[in-house]
Amino acid sequence: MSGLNLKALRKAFGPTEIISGVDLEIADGELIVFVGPSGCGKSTLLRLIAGLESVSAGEILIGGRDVTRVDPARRGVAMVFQSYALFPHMTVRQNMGFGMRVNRVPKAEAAERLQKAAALLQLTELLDRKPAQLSGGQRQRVAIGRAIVRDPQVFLFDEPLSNLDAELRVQMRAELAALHARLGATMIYVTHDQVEAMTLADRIVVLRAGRVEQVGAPLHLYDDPDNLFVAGFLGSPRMNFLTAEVQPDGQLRPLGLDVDLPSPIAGLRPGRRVVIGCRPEHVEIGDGPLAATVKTVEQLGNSTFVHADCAGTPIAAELQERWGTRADAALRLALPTEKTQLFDAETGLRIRQ
Amino acid sequence: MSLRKALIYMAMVVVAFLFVAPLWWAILSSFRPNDAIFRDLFPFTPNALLPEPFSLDAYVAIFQRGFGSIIANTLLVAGLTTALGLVVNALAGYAFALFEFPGKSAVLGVVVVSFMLPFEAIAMPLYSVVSQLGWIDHVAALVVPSVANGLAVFLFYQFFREVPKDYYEAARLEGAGWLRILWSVYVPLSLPTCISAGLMLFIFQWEAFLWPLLAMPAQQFKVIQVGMAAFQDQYTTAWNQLFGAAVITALIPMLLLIPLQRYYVQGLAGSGIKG
Repeated sequence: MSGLNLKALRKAFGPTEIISGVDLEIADGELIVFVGPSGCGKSTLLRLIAGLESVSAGEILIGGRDVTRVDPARRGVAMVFQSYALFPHMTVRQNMGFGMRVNRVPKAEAAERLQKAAALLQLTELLDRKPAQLSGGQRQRVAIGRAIVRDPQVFLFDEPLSNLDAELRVQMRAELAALHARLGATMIYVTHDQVEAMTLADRIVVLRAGRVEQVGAPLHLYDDPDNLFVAGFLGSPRMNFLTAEVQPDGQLRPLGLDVDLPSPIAGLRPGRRVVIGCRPEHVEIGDGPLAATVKTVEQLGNSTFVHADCAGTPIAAELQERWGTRADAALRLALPTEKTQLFDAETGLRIRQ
Repeated sequence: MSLRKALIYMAMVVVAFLFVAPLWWAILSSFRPNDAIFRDLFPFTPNALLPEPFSLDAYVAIFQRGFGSIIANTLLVAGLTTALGLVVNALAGYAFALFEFPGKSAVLGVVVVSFMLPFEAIAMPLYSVVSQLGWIDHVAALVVPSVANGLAVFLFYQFFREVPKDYYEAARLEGAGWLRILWSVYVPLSLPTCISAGLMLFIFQWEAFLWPLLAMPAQQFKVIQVGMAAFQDQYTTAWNQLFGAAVITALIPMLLLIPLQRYYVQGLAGSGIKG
């Protein structure tokens, strides 16, 4: 098992740059999740690490060894594909043993590795079935099994749960977390699902347009985002944003409103445009300076999402109790100053004290 | 049954009869003595559609005239072409489907055009090439030019392109080289395509007439279509033997096609195949 280093990694397809200089250090045994919207380059980054795409510039090191130009099969990585890519004409046993057959692993050793992986993933009963005779979750486990028997230094997962239904996803997510704990292997996991990212990751790498926006532990990114993109990407409903202007007295006046809100940060230049960010669970309903109209109310049973409109800006609030108000009701909202974050309206970067 | 329906059925029976009658008559005629073949036709009597008088003389005579070795020759040529053709065309289709190389679409265009050209258009240039290679009157002249087949390449290309690329990449990550991936992953998945392409190559050779006639002027090594023509002499035609040879000639590819037709249709219509 070993860690992985990416140094100034770039990938361009013709004139289009997909990955624009990624530096990343992944420790041995870490589970890292690449997350970002479609087209952000997260899958490309994974394929660069796997060796399925060639690198335009930069270096990839696995366990300290430069593998940038090394054949995919010799990098010590194993990949689980979104489609599972199980060979349909082979049984589970043949699928899992394919790599060992190709690499002429002695039969006894191959059988032992296969049995061990099958037992770990509860596949022993299914070894003689073909992929078409398996459920989605079982296919997923076979794909993981095929990776495990190779005993790789790094596991790569490309959106492995996205073809499963909601219930199975939750179950497989738990199984993957347990598997990581048991194997202690370095894993890189690509997803666009922030719940998967938040629940599985040791650290999350948020990508946008081929760049790393922020790297950190899930709750750290959630609580302390570096920029508007990360703040808005993690959390559902997403963080509320109100564009405001700094007043001469240091207070913040949201555009289109005639109220001033206290600033969490002192000493901002008057006239500067900022974005006030506040998570839905921190928005207080009842007595506050912001007048809003209820648009929709979502009752989830254990909590309630209230979507309101505040002078054209949508504001979501999450309540822990049930709440009976219907659409079009008038509301007063407050954003507790100590729970709000400020971002520069132009650059989107977080403004810190 | 209404009159309308009855008329429709009548019409269908007539059409079916028109289609089947010549075939039926040819098969029957192979089981008659040569002098009895036209007897019941002018004037027509229903006896013309019955094997009467019944005789196997034609078949005995065919094999006495060496038709057995002609069949063996043709099976050899068609079998060799099919076996070599499957390897060559599958490799070519695989290269077009999976690899990027300069001029790929131009070369693929040439492949597509090549199977639209009638054989007659290339017969003479091909003859001069084969003759310079010294292959005239040699089995190689029949086999080698037919091995690479544009349509078969295109069939394989179409199929392999539809196979999800994830299979290729998964196998590559497992350490398999491209040849191993072709053999272990793509070929098993493309069995219907292999069967279609194989049957097509076989039938092309089975039906070949002009080229074997040109390339084998000494007539020491005859294939079936050329051999059949020999039943027509300048002054006489052994009709019953000719029909007997035709029946055998049709029967052998049919015996191949019937058990495999499910795959043949699947392969030719197979661009929508799921991995």
